[in-house]
Amino acid sequence: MFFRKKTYQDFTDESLVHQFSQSGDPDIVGVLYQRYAHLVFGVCLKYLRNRDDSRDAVIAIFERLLTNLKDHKIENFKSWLHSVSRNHCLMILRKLNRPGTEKDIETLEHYLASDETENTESIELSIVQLEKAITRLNADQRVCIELFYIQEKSYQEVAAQTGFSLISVKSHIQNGKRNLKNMLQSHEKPNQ
Amino acid sequence: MKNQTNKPHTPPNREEIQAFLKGTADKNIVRKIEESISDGGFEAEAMEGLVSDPEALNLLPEQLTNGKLNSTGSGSVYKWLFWPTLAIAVIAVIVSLNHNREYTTPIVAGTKEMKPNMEEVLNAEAEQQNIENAILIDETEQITYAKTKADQPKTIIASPEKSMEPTQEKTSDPVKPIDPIGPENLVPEKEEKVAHSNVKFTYMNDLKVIDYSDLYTAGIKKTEIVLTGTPANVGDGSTASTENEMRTVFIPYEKFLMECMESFSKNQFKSALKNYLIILQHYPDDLNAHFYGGLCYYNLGKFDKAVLFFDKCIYNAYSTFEEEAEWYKALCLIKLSKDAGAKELLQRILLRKGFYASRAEKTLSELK
Repeated sequence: MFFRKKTYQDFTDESLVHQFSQSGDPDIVGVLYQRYAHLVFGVCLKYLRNRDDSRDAVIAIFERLLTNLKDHKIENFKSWLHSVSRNHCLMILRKLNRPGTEKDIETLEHYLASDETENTESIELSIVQLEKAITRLNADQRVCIELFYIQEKSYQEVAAQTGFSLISVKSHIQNGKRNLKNMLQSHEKPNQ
Repeated sequence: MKNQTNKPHTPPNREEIQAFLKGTADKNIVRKIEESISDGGFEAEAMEGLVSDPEALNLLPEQLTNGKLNSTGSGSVYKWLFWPTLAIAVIAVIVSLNHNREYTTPIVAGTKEMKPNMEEVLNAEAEQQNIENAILIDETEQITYAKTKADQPKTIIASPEKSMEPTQEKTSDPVKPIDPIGPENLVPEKEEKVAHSNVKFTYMNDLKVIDYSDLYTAGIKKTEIVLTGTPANVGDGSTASTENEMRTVFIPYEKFLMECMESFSKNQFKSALKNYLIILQHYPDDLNAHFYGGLCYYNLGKFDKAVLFFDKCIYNAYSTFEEEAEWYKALCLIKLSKDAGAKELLQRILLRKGFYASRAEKTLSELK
């Protein structure tokens, strides 16, 4: 048992899912729980704003994995789990119908309708293209991206060095990344 | 030369996140978690929830065995280690809480070591009683309506979310070089520092409030006592008592907020705060209630709760109250004798070169 657990720890998520579909070994779900339960819990806390409801939600989501992992073909477990967590929170919010949760329900419905999951698409690009794209960002985004990713400073250090607030630093980094992605993807588009 | 830049990404594990939330994570872990937050998606959303209630993660069972949640490890051998380990952990927590810990991570500082959490504060009945029993701080130290109004920065709408174009304005104009010759140039020109709001705002009683009219459609539920029965001046005295009827009404958010701000403008901090808490029961993310509720808590000497409220305004997608909340949070930390934390925050305010920079500089020099 101990040896088998240790082996499972080295598996990728997708390998674990595949192994589970073959063997149905519940220890596999245990490994996935250790990897992701705290993230699922955080998402539930964000929407449900209640510790007990969130804990119950995590339990329900992972206990359902025992059947869901066999019934669905999952290519990206992490993204799928994120969607499942959001779906579950939406279901709970609708059921509880607490005042003041309308905005959260709308947000979740929007996410799930637009299928906005993490972009795991990998973009092959050259260092030259990346450097060129960074120079085309506006000054605030460029300095934050450089400090955070190239000089590997923390948010706090970037804020201290630039004088921007933490919120602004995060905003510049997110917007800068989005703009870089747009620039690089438009460069990547093959001629049709 | 082509390089694959998207290397496999391992999400932060539970221990790393717990260390981050406690402020004890080393630089590499802080960096790892911040990178995962900046990537958006699952980790970012999870961290939003976990930061809002840092202690909650301790309640989540650590293991799932045989498809069921089990908080203890498998095997009888480990069972005998559990209770001694738990006892040692409890003793360690008690010892560490008795030390005056340094303020390290801004995200955690407003919540770690703070006894109240948002759930307790929003527990209506208990908190209403706490407010009633609270005593106002000395009038000279209160953040009164007049002081709030005077210390409110001019605010303009900014749109930092727009891409590509450098739309975000600097918080201060570039300092013009001073010609050293001539006494008229010895005093620098007065610069107006402005704050930025990335959402619509308006004013009530000359105090800035976010305009939530597009978002809030349901009203605020208020229970009123309606007196029924014959008025005393026309009654014949035969009726023993008037009957009171409880009635629930829904008041539009703007009208209810106006009542709160009216109370605040009269320095009626207890009644204002009770109503801000009612808003939060309906709209838990409402920043108007958090900011002005925070000021009320300050005036009632509940500096720890005020910090909780100001943190909501600081670590929020809406920037409307960010600068003011940072400044008032710094004042709370000073009141709480958390000088290290206060200094760090004041230095950040100073570096920002915004509306409160000169105040921050003065306060820093007084703290040293």
